[in-house]
Amino acid sequence: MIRPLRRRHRRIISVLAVLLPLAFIAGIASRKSIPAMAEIPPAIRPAAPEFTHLIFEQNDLWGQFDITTRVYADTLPPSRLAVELHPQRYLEYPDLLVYWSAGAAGAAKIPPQEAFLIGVLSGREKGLFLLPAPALETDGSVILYSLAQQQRIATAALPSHSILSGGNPR
Amino acid sequence: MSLKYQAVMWNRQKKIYDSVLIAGVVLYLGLFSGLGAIFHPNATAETLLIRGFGTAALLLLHIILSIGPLCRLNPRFLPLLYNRRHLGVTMFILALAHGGFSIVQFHALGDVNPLVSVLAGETRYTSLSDFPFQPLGLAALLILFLMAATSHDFWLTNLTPPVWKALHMLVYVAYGLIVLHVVLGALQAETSPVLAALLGVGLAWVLILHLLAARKEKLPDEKTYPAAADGYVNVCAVSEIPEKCAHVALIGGERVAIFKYDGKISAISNVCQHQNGPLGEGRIIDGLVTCPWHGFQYRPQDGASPEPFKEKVPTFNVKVIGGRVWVHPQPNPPGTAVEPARIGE
Amino acid sequence: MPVMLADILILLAAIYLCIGLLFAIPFAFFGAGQIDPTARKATAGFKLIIIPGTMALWPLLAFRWLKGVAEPPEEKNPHRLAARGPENNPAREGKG
Repeated sequence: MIRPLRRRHRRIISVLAVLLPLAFIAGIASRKSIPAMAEIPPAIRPAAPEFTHLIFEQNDLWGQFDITTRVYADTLPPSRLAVELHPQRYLEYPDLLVYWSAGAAGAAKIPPQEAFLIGVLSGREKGLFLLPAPALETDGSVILYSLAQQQRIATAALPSHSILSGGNPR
Repeated sequence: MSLKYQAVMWNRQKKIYDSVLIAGVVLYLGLFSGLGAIFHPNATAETLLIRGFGTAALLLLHIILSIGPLCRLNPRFLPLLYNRRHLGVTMFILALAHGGFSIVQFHALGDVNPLVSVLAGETRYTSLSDFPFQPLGLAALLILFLMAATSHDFWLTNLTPPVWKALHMLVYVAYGLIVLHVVLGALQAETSPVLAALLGVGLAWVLILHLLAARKEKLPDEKTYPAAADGYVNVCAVSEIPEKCAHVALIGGERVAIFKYDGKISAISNVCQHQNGPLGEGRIIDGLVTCPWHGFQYRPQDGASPEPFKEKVPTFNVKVIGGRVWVHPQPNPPGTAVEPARIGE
Repeated sequence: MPVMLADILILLAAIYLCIGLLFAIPFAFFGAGQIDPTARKATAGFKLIIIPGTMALWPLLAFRWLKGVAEPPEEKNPHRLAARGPENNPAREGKG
């Protein structure tokens, strides 16, 4: 290199040696914790104290996903049901929507047209979702759907409605 | 040295260099995808590819940026410098793949032009954690494109080496943009301390190496030499110059390489015509000054490359008095023959 | 960055590169050899490999080709400028 470029080289390095470490430290210091959806809209958010009767619990309902599933009732026999999903490992999907669908829910990429959107699930956050009224009268499934990837991630069939509406603890 | 341009002037060394490079890149991408699929079973193939190409480009950029200062600090690293341009082009291709897959994955599914989406999709410039990091990556990619596209010797010759070098020094701007792109992008979501530590170590390594090399480079440019009445400057003792090697001194605004060989002393400009490599750090091989960077050769007596090559560098009048070497600071036109000074006369 | 500004920037870049590509093809075959004699006997691989760079730097190359430049310029460094003598060295002339 010629002398003017050696000088320019030294100046560039001196500037980078100051600016880049500062930017690096500032960038790392400003990191937020992993964003997780802790709140779901009030309209579909069941108030936890209302659902005190555990009527179903299982750990292996979701195939490869390690999610504990619990169904709670508000009274016995139930007038309303809520399903609690508790991922035991971090769910690496953004915008995970939770649907309840009557019947076996099929295997199509998107949830059936008549499925009910009951909330969102994120990271390892425990979510309690109010099941729609038909869940007391018909068998149904819970579906996890990734909005970002536009595909169904997993489906779990809930116990039959007769068990759930009977409110017999398992 | 070339008489006609080819896409690549292949030789054995370049073939070995490129084989190792390609094997390394393929191995890295294979390992990254394989381990990624095991440890992140929920990650899609596109996500693994985006991360694999991005990290491969970042790692290669750190290697590329280390080569220059390592060679200044220790000539044993010079073989790595020989084909550095192929490293640069490979790095650009990896970065382009990273950018291309990212644009398709994150910007191509909407009804806005994907590039407009990259530039205008995020506008929180006042927030560090939500800073639009993707335009930073795009700007770096443009610089890397300009460098890769002009890496052939045709551009070096037609832009002239100082302009070409200045253009390619934009790599430091690209590096700064890429560090910001990673810190404000991937490292905001990936909160593992290992990833931040790896980038921190890489950054410290590149900066410390460059500062050490800059300090070493500064010394020869600061020394001045007193001139006698006839204009000649007293540079050094003959005994200070190793046989078939050079003493380098800043004379006439630039470094001069003063070679000792076969009982003679000759002085030529230190600046190789090819890529401005430091001729004075090379040796005399087969009677010719040989540039340590790419092996361009010049006769020490007239600064001209042997036929059929046409490269020429300025020469300097030189004399030896009482065991001291005196050089006239007025350079002769490139290729001007100058009678070497005889040692002991 | 506002969407309109992004739109304009991308449109200008696309126009610049399209003109560059149209220019690059004749330049690779004829222009390169005109401004640099070493490129006259160049291989097909060379012609292909200079296309991206030509797309980026076409205004400079078009200027040289139109002007009839027949040799690459000589680099400017302190030794070469001083070796040309004061008449060819504005820096020296300026200092008298």
